[in-house]
Amino acid sequence: MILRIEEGIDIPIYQQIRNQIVYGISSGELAAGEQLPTVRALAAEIGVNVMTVSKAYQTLKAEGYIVTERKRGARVREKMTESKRLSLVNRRELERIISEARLSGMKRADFIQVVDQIYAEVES
Amino acid sequence: MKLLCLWNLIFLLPFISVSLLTRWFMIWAEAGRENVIFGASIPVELRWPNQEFHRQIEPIIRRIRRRCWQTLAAEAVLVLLICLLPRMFLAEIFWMLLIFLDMFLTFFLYGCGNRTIRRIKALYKKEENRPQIVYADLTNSGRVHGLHPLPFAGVLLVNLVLTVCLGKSQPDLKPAFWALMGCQCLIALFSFFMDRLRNRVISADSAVNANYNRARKKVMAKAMLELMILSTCLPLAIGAAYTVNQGNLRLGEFASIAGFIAYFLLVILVIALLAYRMYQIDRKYQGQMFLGDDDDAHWIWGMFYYNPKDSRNMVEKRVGIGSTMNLARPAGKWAMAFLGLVIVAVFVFLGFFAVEETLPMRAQVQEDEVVCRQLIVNERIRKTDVRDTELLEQMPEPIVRTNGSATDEYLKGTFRVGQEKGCQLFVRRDARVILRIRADQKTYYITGENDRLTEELYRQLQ
Repeated sequence: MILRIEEGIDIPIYQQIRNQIVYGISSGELAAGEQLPTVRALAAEIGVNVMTVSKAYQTLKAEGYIVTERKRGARVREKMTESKRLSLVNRRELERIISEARLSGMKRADFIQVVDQIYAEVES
Repeated sequence: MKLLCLWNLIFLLPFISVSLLTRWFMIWAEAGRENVIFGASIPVELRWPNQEFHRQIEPIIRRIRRRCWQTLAAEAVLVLLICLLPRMFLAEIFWMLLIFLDMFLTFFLYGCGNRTIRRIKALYKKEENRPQIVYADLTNSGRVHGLHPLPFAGVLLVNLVLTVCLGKSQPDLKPAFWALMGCQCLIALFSFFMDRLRNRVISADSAVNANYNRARKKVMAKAMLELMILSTCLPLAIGAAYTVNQGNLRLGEFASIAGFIAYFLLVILVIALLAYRMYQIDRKYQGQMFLGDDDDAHWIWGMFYYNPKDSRNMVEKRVGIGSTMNLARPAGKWAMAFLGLVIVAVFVFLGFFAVEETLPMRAQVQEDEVVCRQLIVNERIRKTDVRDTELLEQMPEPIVRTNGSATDEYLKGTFRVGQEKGCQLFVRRDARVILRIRADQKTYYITGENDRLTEELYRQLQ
């Protein structure tokens, strides 16, 4: 799986790492139980400080996407906790996206079509 | 004259091999690449079989190659002229200047190619000022290696045994042997460092990235091991040359110079093979390379990377093997400053060398001391320490340098003269009379500014 990190944009690097790993888990690029690289190794690959990657891993762990063990390192969680709900942060983000779509003149049906498209891409 | 010819040979063979290798890498090999030509990245839509674009860049490549040959021919003429220079110090100075000129011309041609390709590319696609994007292969992070530690450990062990044994049999050369051992350790450390560099991301397929990086790292590790094995023979060669030198000076000198040239050429061969293998790997994976952004704006002449928005200190080179520094980062700036200092130091040294060769040597009695002075050399012998003085018409043979300089004009420093070790020489080569002073358990060979002054110094000491 390839991480694509954009520097100089508003999204912090740790957040970008976190987002892309979540995307990878969702799309199946990262399988359940798959070993993730060590903090040091990934930091060296991207060319960032180890604290940045460490923060990304801690965020993923707190959100329940990965588990970290002392001897075995970080792994994708075998079975995700299915809350079947959007988190508050994601709901707010979705509200923002929908607001901007409305302001751009997008109809509801068109918006849902885009959502379906993206969902299908992630699923495939 | 013979020494001058040998000296020119020492410079000539490495110069030719390094010059040809650099030009092959930077000028010839470039034309065979699809994704980057003269340091300018070629977007997918402009690559072969886009005939229109290639029709425009092919004449440029041919022109750069032609100029490469022309500059090589001009340098060949300069080389001939240098070989005709009568004095060794002049030859040394001009060799150094020629090396810099050769590097500059190669970089200049490459830079011209880069600018022209980018100008043509801009007709098809504008250079965009986009945010810096870094690709990292999560699957392969820290997992792709090409180096096996065992062979390196084996070679280091053999070196250690050789160093200890040879050091015992030839104690004079112990520091040299241990210095070589230190170099071997540095090569081993460098090999491990190169093996642990970040992986290049050339494709969205992690398997392709893994294979590509593993192949490159294996080739690099193999080359480093070959270099270490080659360098293992050095202590043996030095020991052998030293032994021969003790018995037959001329044969020893010849053996040393021949050995040095042979070693250097073999090192060049190892590097050339490494470059060729890397080139083969790049060609094999060329068709699968499509990742990477068009960030030509950050590459100065396609060679130097300057990007303040990129937090990485090291990035993959666009030409050559390995990585290069991001000059916008503090580490990159310090590295450039250091390199600048080194270049300045080389020219200062050349100037110093020229001045030293032309300044006269002065040996005279001052109060109760014999003072020998030339530029930074300031040898003093107390008159009360002098046990014996003698005026010689020629120096005893052989004269073997231990620590000092032996140029066209002078012999200065510590030498073995005849069978006597640790003699201090301060002698003009063209002197017809040489003053030998035995003082304070040392033997000095001194000449004044001219023969008359040498004789006068002898009379004063009498």
